[in-house]
Amino acid sequence: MTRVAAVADIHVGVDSVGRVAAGLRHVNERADLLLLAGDLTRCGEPVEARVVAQELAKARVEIPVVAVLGNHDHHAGRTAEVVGLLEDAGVVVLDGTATTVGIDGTTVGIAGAKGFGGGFAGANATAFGEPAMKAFVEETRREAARLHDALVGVRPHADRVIALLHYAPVPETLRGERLEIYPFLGSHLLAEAIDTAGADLVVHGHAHNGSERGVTPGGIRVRNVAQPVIQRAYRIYDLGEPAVRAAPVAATG
Amino acid sequence: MAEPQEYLVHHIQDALATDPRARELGVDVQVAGDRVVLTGTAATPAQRASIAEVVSELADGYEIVNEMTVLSAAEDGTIEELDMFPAHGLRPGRPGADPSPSRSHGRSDRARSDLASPSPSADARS
Repeated sequence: MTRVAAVADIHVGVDSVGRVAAGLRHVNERADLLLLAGDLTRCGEPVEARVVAQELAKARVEIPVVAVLGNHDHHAGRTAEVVGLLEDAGVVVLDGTATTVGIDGTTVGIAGAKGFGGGFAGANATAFGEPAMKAFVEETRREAARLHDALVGVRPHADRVIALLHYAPVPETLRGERLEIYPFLGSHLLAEAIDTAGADLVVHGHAHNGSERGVTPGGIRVRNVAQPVIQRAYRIYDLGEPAVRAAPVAATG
Repeated sequence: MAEPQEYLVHHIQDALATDPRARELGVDVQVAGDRVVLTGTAATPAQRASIAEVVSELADGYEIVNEMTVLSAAEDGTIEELDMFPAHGLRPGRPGADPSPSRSHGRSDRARSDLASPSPSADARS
């Protein structure tokens, strides 16, 4: 079994002390890996990131923790400090990058990026007109390209690959949100990048009123783990038995 | 004359995004008659209360109906087992990858034929 616990949008503030730790008490025994899909903090203040770090320590989380930042984590403009505090607490923070985690002989690769908005096929923003509009679309293109490259880079080293995002790559996991705000919740450019590069599972958050389950146009499962959606401390996804490798590789792996 | 209700909703949503007491985008604000109804999810009970406080300062003369819930962070052991799609993902060109559906789906007890339709029935309660 390769059990991946995942949650997004925990929105930790200074008044969250004790609340996160209470939900993570059993995560070590229930999962092999914990993914945090953005919006760890309420406004991206270092004092809030410190609470996240303290909560992980208080819960004695020993399994690997891999995160991406979300839009809330950017609000204060202090992402470098936030990332530093999380990394000091042992959290691997991905930003157009990838990491691998070994679990009982299976190597799980996680490629992560924040992502951004723009909407979905047929109702999406285009890089036309004012500089602000072009910049908006360019941000999404850049995030999608970095995610693609991170996925491609980690593939040769992993048996399973997970794409970790904050913004949504597909509209299916937005069901429940108002249609008018879909362009602010995600972009099909993210799904295209994932389908082109390949992955086994996509995990995202951001859409609090959305739905948990979706699939990319290329057939890769997507899960929206925003805490208001999943209504629990985290969800656990079992990626199955260790992948069957050629015998010599398995013997030395 | 009172502010048109549409503008009031916009002003409230702006305030909820920027006021340090709130900083929450996931609040649905509806003005209905002389009431402002708040739905959505707050991270903590304290944030839920301060969101209502921010709204009441802007919506003078309105009754605030706070129907927001607080994030449920209870831990449970529910596991969704994901049979890996043999037709997608990582097979092509990956060293060490196993392109064979029968092998990557070696757990014959769990193998399902409806590979293209993730379904809630994939849940296994533990």
